[in-house]
Amino acid sequence: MDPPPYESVLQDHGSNNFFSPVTAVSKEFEIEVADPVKQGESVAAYVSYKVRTKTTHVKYHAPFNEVTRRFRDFAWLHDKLVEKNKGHIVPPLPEKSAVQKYQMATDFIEQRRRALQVFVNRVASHPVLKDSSELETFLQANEEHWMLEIAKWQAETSAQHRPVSAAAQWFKNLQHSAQSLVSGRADEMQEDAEYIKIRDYINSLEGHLTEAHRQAGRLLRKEADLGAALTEFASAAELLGKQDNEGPMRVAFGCLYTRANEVAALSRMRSEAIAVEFAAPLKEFARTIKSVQVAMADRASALSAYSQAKSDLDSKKVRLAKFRGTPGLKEDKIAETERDVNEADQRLRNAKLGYETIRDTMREELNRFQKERAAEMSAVLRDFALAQAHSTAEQAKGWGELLRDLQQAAVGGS
Amino acid sequence: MASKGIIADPLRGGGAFDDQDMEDLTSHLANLPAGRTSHDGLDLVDHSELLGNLDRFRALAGDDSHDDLFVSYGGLGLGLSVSDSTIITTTNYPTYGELAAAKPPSYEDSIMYDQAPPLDMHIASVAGGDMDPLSAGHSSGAGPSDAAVAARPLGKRVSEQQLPPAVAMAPPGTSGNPSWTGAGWAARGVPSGASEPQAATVAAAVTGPGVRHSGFSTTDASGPSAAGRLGSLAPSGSAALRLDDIQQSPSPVAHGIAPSARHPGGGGGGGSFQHLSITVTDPVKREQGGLFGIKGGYVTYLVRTQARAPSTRPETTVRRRFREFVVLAQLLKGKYRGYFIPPRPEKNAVEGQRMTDGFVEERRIALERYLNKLAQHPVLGASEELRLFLEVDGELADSGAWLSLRPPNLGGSVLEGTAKFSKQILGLDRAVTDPVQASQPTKKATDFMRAIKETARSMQSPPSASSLPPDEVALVRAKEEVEALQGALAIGSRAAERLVNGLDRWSVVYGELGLVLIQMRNAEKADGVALAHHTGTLKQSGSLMHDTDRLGTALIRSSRIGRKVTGRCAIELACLHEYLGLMPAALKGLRARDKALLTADTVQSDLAGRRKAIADLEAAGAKVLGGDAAKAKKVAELNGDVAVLEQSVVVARARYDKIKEINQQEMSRLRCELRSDLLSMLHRYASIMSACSQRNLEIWLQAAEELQATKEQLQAAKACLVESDVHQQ
Repeated sequence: MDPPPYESVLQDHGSNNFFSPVTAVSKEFEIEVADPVKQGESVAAYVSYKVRTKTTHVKYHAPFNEVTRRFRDFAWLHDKLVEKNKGHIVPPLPEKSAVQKYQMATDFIEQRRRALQVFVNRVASHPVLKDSSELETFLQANEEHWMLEIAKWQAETSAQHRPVSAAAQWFKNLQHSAQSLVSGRADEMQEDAEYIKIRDYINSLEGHLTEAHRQAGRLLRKEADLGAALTEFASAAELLGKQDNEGPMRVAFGCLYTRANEVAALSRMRSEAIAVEFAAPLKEFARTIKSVQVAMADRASALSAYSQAKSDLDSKKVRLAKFRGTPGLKEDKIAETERDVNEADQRLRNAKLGYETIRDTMREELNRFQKERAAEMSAVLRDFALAQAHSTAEQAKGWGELLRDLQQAAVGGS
Repeated sequence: MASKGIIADPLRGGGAFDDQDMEDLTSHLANLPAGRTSHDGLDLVDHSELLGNLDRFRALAGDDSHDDLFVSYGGLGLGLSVSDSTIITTTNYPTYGELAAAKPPSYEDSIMYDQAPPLDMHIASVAGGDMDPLSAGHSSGAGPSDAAVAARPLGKRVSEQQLPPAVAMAPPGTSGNPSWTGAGWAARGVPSGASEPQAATVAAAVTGPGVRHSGFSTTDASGPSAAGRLGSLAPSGSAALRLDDIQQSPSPVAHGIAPSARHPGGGGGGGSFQHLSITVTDPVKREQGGLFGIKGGYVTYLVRTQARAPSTRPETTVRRRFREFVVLAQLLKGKYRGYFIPPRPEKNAVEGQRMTDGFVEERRIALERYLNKLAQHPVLGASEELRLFLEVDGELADSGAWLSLRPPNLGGSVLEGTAKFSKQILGLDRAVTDPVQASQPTKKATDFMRAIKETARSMQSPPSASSLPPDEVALVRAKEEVEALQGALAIGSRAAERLVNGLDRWSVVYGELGLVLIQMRNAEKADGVALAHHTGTLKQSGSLMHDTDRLGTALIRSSRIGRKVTGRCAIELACLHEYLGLMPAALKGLRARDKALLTADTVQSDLAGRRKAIADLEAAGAKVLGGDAAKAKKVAELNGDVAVLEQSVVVARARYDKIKEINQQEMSRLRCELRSDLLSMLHRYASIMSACSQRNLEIWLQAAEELQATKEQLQAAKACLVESDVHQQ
């Protein structure tokens, strides 16, 4: 008898995996990413998905809508949101995997489909991002409109960002850290001690989650290996049983063959379930941490701009004072310097405001992140334990039945 | 540094999951013999390696120090210390004692804490050398606390005296006889899942931690040697039980495992060596100055022999070195033709390795198993060679009785053989196989003429199957059977090895994932508090920490069960390796008969040839009147040869018949033992796996409950078991 699939058990009893925290928080959107279809050939090949939206949001005219999108389009949504929502923790996209993309293996596509669905639902349940025009465009724009957006975006990115973006970012960071060194880590000193602790913690958490995901990956492989080894052993045992010309061994090892294969099938199923219900969420948690780090980088650069503006103002003030103290200097020179000081002061205020906005946004975001993370992680852990229990129960059943079979064979044979 | 003590004693202190544990896991991983998957083909060269692996598995099985975890869970609560700064207080979680008190003991409990799966007490005795007195006490707990109480002093006795379980088991045999059979195979004929073993569980729950502890002190005290011992005791343990089965339980289930039919030769033989328990311990190195400054040396082992059943035989203790084992094997091989002689442990070619501790330990285990195998053999076990080997004090080479066992040097040396051969060529020697020679196998190195003749004879078209007597045909078939069996065993033992490897890696990865989670919880506790404070989410953070910790702990517990099960399976499935090792010996025994038959046939044809020559000469002589003196002389000579050869034919035939009879006995013994051993192996394996999954189920249900799964979810998770129970009833 085949054991029931995990999915059905989990659904029947309302156990949520992975998504339900998202959907539970907000029923405003229910978005499904479905029907992956491979398009095009060889290098230009890509996979398109149907994105089906069911929503009660006021901005959306139709309660149901379906559009066709590909990975690049999800990336558009992600990048736009990051760009326009500094300090917010924008849900992460699944990794671009160049190698796997060209293989287009079905399980990879399925894995990605799930991850994209998680991504878009997370955006739709985010208190700020859900109202964004970007999400609206993504979910609703028709083919023409959408192609236009994408073309615009590609032009922008190829013009300024793309080729240089990575290098520019790196350079910026370098510049920033050099500055920090020179100024005796001025930003650090201005930043709350508490925030710094949080930042360090987030950084270490990423390591832990990545490691946990790595181990979960090994776990599911070992589980599958064990299943394979058991299958092999079952066949070998059956062969051995056939060496006995009289009944008992043949029968007993035949029983082993049957039951061990059942248990091996459980291991294989368990392995697949671990991939979907445990490894994938852990991976997503690790990615979310990366999104937090992006927000933290925004904050750091805002702070750096702020402190730079401050030192700029200071130096300009010094210069003004010097000019004022110097007799015989032209009035307009002094006036010009005063204007500079005022401008610098204005810039400082802007920078301060920018930094403070991000800081406040992040406070809320971290709060939300922390609560969601705790709930989701707990749910994933619990579901893992439950699924383990379920699987081991099936195994126990299999082995128990083998024992009974063997006993019946022994009694019957005597 | 409050947790210092706990960390210092990870085995006792509820398991300190710190770096040491990590190291333990990783070193365990590193120790996995790599590349052992490369057994390509069925060649016998592999056997030594397989058997070596087997011993390594046993050693691995002995790496069972983590068993204590479960004790600690019981006795010391679920305290988990992760680093100096963080200890979860044990008060939050119920200790085992509380658990046991709080809910009625269930089937799972008995497995969880008792380690003796309900069906089978062989399992405990065979698998867990150090455990069996305890488990025996538990499983026989049908007569509830008496047996359990009996088990307590018993456990202590083992720990104090380090007696092998076989001896230690004699007391329960006498004190707990009725319950033994009661709870044994017979009563467990058809278990009804949960209800039946409950009685046993009560006893287990009552005595649980206390008895456990005394048991574990054995493990601790004997340290590394216990690891090896665990494995090496296995055969003796099982043999002891077999004995019990013979005497006490004519149970229906015993049919499959029926030991009573096992030893046609010596079922209850009082003087037989079969009921001996032999231990090989205490290797002592003797350094010797070798040539060229290379340090040579050898190791002597303490061989202790005890009777299993009460008997007049006193315990004997001798010191033997490997070389003496080699001589013993040679003597047995020379004398017991046609028997399936258990193979002797391999020699080691590399001088340098011979003295390493690891090698000495492996060899010690192998030698112990070898001697016990010999002692179990109905004929070899009663042999004078083995008796002297086990009993003679001092070096065997100094013992007259031992030296007298050496076979007479019949064919002489190679030099003599060469001299004789040249004479035979020139016709100076008659090249007649005399009766004494005919009773011995051909020595290719010293009796060239006979070897050549027999080879020539074997080159002739082999006798067709129809011309052979039916019993000979049956034995020719037997050879094919053994060869097929060897093939199947080779495949089986490789698959078993892979399975054990798979289990091992599986458990290691579980443990590692558990450790990662625990570390994550630590980081959360140490640094995450900042975020929790900042966001006012201390509560969520706390519950996440709790959940992570619980799951990590469950993974580690599961991993430990996995590792223990790995060890047990390795020991059980070793049965396959052992039989694989025996197959060449069986083939050799069967070939001895072929050779004897060849000798008989050759002598026979020699005889026929000479008779024909006489007849020809006489026919020729009859024509020539008066005869020819030279011819008459030749006829007389030939007649002399014929007389010798006639005797030789009789002797060779007799020898062939004897070996044939031995072959037949050995084949039926092999079939019988193989079947019963493999069946009981299968039984035990199934029991182990069943127990393992039951215990894992317990762990995961508990974990899921701690992680706030609802009752319905828990029910759903174990629904399939409930269904199958209902179905059974």
